[in-house]
Amino acid sequence: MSSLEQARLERMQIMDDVINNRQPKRVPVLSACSTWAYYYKGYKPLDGLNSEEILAEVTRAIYTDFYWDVVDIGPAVAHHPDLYEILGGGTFTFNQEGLHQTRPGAVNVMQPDEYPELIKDPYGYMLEYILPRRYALFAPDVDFRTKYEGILKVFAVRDRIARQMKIHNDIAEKEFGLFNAVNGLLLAPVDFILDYLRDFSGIMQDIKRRPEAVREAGMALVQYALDGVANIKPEAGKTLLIPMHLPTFLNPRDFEKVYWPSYKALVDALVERGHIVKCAFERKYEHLFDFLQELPKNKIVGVFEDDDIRVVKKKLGDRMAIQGGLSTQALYYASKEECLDIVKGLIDDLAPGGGYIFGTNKSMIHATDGNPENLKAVNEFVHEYGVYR
Amino acid sequence: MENNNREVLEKIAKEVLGAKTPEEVEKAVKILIKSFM
Repeated sequence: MSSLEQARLERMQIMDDVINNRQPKRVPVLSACSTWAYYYKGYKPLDGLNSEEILAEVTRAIYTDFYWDVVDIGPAVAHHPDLYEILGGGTFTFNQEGLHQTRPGAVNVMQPDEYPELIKDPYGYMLEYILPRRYALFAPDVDFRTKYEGILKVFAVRDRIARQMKIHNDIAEKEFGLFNAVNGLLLAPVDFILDYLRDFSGIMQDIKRRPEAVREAGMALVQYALDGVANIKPEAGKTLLIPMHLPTFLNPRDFEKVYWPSYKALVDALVERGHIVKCAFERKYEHLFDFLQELPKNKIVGVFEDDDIRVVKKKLGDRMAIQGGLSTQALYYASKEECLDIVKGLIDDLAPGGGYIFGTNKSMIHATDGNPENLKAVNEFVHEYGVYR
Repeated sequence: MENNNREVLEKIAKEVLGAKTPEEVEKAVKILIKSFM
């Protein structure tokens, strides 16, 4: 067995221990180094969208220059402007540098009185109501042949995106012994309504005026969410990722009424299938910790963005593994010495007992999400200091 | 105006994705719908 393969298997064992909330050999250093990689090498994300050579170059650079044990997200991106140009619309737009962001006004294409149709038949509702409103290609007056050929063009762009993902994963695994710890991604049902059907102001109005409809639509979308990961088998050291968007804005009463039932049902179903579920608790969640304690024990990895991670460890550390701790803001603006102090404190306070994954509190996307000198220093420090003795 | 989206997706399911039985076609159409959301 090559030393690279040996390293990969050791890292996989470390991750399998830690995501099951056990004590591993050492604290793993996790990469959420996304499009920041392009800025690091003097490019823009747009350059990578259109060049497999540039993608390969920046991938090799970040895995050569910084120490990592495992990858959550890399520089290859699952979106491309060509997709939305062919479809004639969509929820995303791209800025001049090639970063995708939600297109203003593009999400809210569902009328509030249409919840019964969504609940009755989610797929039929998307096909009949949402696709024609969202994309020019699916409008009623577009002829059959144009639609058919348009979809084939979409497939061709998706093939290019899949090839980019494979280029990244092959380099990470075969040249650096790094594996991708995220096996798949899905949205909690009510976040799907927020992100793709009603937008923020729409769903907040619905929660006030028709909370039962939001809750029931969430329950109707549990199977819809599960369908998207039906072919993904559980693997040692790997998780399914649920990025969570709405709960930080909900008070506990509304969270319990509209969001929690379908979210809990989804997580329970995934755990029943043998998966470990990684939940990105975006922004602050302290007001909802009582609910998070009811998630399946030692089957959750919580990525905490703005919560006090020591409070998280105290309140939830016996229930779930914890990821994060170093803010991208500190990684960019603080001095190297300050960063090392922060990270030493994280290891001292969060590593005891296991179940801690070191990483940034969110993905590194923009140029200001990290200073290379700081990143190099903290990753090497954790690799050496985070060994359980 | 009547929309032909389902018919288009069914044709894609059969000719591109290789679905043969009605159940396979229905499953493939669902996957296609989800992929555009």
